[in-house]
Amino acid sequence: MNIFCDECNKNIATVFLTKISGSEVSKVQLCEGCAKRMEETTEAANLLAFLPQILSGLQGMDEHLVDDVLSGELVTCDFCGTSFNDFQKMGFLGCSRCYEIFGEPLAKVIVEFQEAEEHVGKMPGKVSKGARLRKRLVELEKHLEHQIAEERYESAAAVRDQIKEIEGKLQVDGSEGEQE
Amino acid sequence: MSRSKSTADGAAWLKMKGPGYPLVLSSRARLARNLEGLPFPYSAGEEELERARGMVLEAVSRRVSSDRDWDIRFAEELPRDELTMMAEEHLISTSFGDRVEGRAVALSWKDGRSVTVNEEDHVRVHAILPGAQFMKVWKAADRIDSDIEGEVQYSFDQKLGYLTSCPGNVGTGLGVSAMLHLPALVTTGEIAKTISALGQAGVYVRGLHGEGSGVSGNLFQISNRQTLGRSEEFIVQNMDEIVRQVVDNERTARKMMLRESPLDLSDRVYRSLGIVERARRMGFSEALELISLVKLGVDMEIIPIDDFNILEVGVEIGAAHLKKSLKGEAEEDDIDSERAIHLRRMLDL
Repeated sequence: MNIFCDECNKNIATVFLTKISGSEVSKVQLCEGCAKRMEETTEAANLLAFLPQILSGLQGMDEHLVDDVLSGELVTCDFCGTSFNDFQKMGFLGCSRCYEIFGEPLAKVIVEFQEAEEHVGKMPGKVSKGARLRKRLVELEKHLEHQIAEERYESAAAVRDQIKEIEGKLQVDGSEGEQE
Repeated sequence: MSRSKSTADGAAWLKMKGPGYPLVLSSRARLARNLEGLPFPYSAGEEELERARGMVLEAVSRRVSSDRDWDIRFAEELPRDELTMMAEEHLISTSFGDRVEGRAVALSWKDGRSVTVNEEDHVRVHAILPGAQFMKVWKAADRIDSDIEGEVQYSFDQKLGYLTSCPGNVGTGLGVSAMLHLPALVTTGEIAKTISALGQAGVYVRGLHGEGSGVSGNLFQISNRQTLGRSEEFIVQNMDEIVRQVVDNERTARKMMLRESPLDLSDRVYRSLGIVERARRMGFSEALELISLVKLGVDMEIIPIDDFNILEVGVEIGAAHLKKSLKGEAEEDDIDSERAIHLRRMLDL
């Protein structure tokens, strides 16, 4: 039985790991030093791994920021000074405003990574009733699709009724002006 | 401020068996939030970090930590070893102590609830419980989140939801994870299929402390990748279903081992037990690998030793916990030797 480190083959292995890369799984044994050298990854690393692929998909998009981003031109947030380059390197944005400033390229990153465009779920207490109902509608429509795909027609019908009810409420609210 | 309560009682949730034991060891929920009008922590200056910390801690002490179990600590005032102990108990991330400026943590040690300030986001609310209790941990975190929100204004966008430092968390800001013990799937090699299926289902697979380098002790942490366009309930229920499937796979793999290679199974289990019984020093990940197989033997009634919780043992043999029990300065050799002694004691060998 081999007792040496898989990386350096010099020191005795004391760290035993199951390594996952993509869908490849392998057992590795390492010495303390080599194990430490194997970089720790943050949550952002998961996003970073996707970035190049997503950004290369931007080519041909008709937006001025896209050209700048692709050509490495410095696009910088006017509130916090974070550049799109920083984001590409670290995976972090600097502030809420970055979400606006980085426009279409960032929106594309989000859609590709999240496979969704719009938030559903919890909202701060201060958000208006109309906005809440509209969110609920998006959520239910998604749920309906899911139910139909799974061929659960009975519960799909129930969801459809809920959707109609909310659409009705929104129309009433809309004609009276948005209140809360 | 009071001394850490962890050292007195330890994290109580670690000692409990939850639904899905012994395959599902813990459930955890995390909500990521930021304060409106301030840059996110990684690009904030000292003064801005202080402001964020002041606002969050005030909200926490007004609305959340009214009961006595909460303990609020500034990161720069916490000794390194104590930070490591908190990380070993899964109460903060291992990287929390890497940068202490402006950071703080509010902890309810006993029941595994915590709020960290100025890590990747201004506010991160966590709740952790034994076994598969995803709905419960999310609700516990959600309650704290709503309480804090009563006092501060979060960055929120109508379309994108809660804005987070990493766009990978935008929307609900909700991460739900499960800690699973899957020795049979790893030993039989069936884990590869499971991991590839999880990847397709939008689930991350990581190790004990969410590290990227690999998995020790066949302890897998799985968590949702997507946070946008799905409601919190959906994310929670989805994790529950996925965990059920993975647990089924592990059960099947255990049956398969018993049926197809019982000698190989008992040989592996007894070899591991032999080393735990005889070794005089042991590194952390080696210890985890060994007790994982010993635990498999206990679960499958192959070896006649008392049941133990692998997560609890894993915490007890962490370097910071051992160092504390050694009292005073300890070299790595001392810790490794103490670990071997500790393991024998914990397993009653």
